[in-house]
Amino acid sequence: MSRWLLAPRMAKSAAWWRAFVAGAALCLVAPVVELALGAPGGTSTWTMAYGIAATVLASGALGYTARRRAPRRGPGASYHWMQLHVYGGTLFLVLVALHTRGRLPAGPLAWGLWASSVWIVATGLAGVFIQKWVPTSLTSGLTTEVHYDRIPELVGVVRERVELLVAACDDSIRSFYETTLAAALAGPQTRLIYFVDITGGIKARLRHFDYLQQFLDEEDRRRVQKLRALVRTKLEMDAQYTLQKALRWWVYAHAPVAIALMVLVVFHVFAVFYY
Amino acid sequence: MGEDTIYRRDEQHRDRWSVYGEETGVRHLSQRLTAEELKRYEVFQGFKDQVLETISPDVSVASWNEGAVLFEEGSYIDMAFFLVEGTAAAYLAKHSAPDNTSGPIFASPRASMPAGGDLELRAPESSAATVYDYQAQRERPAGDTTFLSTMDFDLAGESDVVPLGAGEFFGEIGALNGWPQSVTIRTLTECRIVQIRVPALRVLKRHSTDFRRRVDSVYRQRALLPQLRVCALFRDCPEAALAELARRVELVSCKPGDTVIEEGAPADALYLVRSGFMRVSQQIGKGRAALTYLSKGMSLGEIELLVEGVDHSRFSVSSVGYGELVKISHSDLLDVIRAHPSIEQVLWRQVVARLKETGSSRADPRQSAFVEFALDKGLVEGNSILVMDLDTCTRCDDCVRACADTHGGRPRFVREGDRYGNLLIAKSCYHCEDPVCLIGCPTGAIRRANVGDVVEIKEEICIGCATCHNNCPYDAIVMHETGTTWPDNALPKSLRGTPRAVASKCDLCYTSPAGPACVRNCPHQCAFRVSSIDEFRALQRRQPS
Repeated sequence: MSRWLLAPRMAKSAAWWRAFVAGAALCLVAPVVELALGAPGGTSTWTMAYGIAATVLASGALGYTARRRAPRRGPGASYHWMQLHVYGGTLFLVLVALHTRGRLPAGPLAWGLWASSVWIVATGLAGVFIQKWVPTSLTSGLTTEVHYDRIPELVGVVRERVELLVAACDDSIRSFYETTLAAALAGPQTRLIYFVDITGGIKARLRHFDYLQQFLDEEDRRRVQKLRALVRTKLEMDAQYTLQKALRWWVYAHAPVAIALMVLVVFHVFAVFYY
Repeated sequence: MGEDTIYRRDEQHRDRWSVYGEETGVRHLSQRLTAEELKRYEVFQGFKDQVLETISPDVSVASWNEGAVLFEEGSYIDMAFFLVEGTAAAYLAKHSAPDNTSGPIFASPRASMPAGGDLELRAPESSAATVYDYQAQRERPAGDTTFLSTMDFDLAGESDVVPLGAGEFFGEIGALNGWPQSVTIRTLTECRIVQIRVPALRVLKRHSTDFRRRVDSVYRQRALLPQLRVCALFRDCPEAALAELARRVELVSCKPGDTVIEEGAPADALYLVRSGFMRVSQQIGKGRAALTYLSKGMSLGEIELLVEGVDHSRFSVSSVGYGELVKISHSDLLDVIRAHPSIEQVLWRQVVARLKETGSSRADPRQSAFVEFALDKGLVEGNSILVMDLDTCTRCDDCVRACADTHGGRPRFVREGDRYGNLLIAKSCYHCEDPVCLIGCPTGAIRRANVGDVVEIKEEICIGCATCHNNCPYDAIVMHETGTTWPDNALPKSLRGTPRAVASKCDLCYTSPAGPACVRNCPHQCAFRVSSIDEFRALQRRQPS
């Protein structure tokens, strides 16, 4: 238990994890202290304090994005800003819960704030999970590593090589290519099976080649071996395409709402001080 | 040779040397010299005209001002100096520990050296010490291995200043071996100096036994004895015995692929590696497996020397790139051992380590495959290889963007390359121990930056010939179109009006106090700069599939 609290294996940085645990403990202790002290200065002081703390953390978490966009990349190492982004963002939701006294919000602005806060933390944590799981999955199951933006171009290269190879082959192979392979080589394909199994039935799909071998002479057999290797590369690129797409696209579920939340926070702060 | 070619060479010659003299105290640089003109200098006498024509673009005669610094302690240079007229002096920090001189020591602009007769060695300034700070955090190899680069200039006796007169040859040990200079050389009077770049030095060594002997004799005189003195093997030997040994040893130079020791051949010597990398392999079944490699300071041949009944070499040893070795015959070594039995203990320790290492490679093919991979992909050669842990890399490309932001919008590496298990070796400059990209650059635009091991390209004088791009074995140098054309006063003239391309590569962000942007801006801490295969292995969590 103490090891889990001090430095669990899932945490990249023990120091940041401990800071997070300390922050979370503080958030748990704060209402108890508030209760014990009988809320001197009124409940609104505590509510205000939670709100300010939540805003500070949200701004800190946003620092990671701001640093990325800065032309000279801002101070410090990106890694620490990322840690602040993740842990600060999570604590932000706890502070929002304290700020709202655990009650459901009333009014459209409060609903907007509450829903977007929950949404960005949920998608953020989903992002953390995806970013931990997908890279390991890609590395463990695939022999190729390819840049996402270059996948369409590289699939084109593979297709050209395959067509060149097939053109020199026997009719049976050409017909096999047209009926079985041509469509699969047309472009990068997203297949959800790769999320479940990274090899995604690649071996099963390559089994056709083994069957074909028995009808071929030595020369064509060698060509089919090359064809098999090229098709395998293409299928692996599909797996890369599918999973790397997930790595890129989850951000679109997270970032725009985070920006909207910051706009709402500004409105909220303005409204509190104005009225 | 046609007139055009000669003319073009003249132009190239001027370009190549134009960088020298920039704030360095060079008063005059010669035009390209003909074979006849070169022969006037003693160092080139006896060479055929054809050889001299070949090397002429890499040779220049410079007139240096009094008080100018030719090179500084800790800097990397790619040329040797032959003093024709005048006097100079070599300075060394008297009480510095030997190992300190193998690390990068930083030079500020040469012109800022104090003029006059002040003989004090200036302390390295901190302004350029950014990469040094970064590199200094790394562990340095320890143990019985002594890095032979630690002392390449013997300042005999108590003095820390050695005068150099006409006829002296210096700088060649560091230049040929890729070692940092261990002394600072400064002119005491106006000097006329023949400057010979590394490609020319190699040609000269290949074509003349006399020249090779001369370089070797300078090495024996200035470097070998101090190196043997600090070598773990001979640490307890008295000076006289070492001097005798230094006189007797043979110096061996190898080209890439040269076989130094053939497996099964009679073993008659112990080899110490001075520079370069050697592949140690053995016949296993019908194939040849790489069991380990040797780098500078390491030795081979102890097993055959000590183990009774083993009188034929158990391994084949071949040179991976250019290499230099010291060959000590068994009979000479046995003489020393008889007089100083403590040496035998050190050798036995090395035997045990070697048997353990090669045994594990034989028993585990993955180990052998890794050694092969490390040698083929240059992991042993690189001083700063960009490696990414694909188990944690989210392919966000922040490293590439940060690199582009730091270098005017043009990234200096590609996040693609060879993969080994969970590690990706990005196509980024390795900042090699022996950078072959430096060979043949017609303008000297690519060079050591005098900061750690950094190799940089000065884009202002790059003429886009792509020689370095073609030479780099790791595809780490890319050619860029700049979108401009060469101006009407460009040299060589053939470039005028043509589209301007420049070569571009990683410079390790050496001017930035924060270190390489790719590493600092990785949000998941999965980009690393590794300088040894041990560091590479430490990052490896997964075997290649």
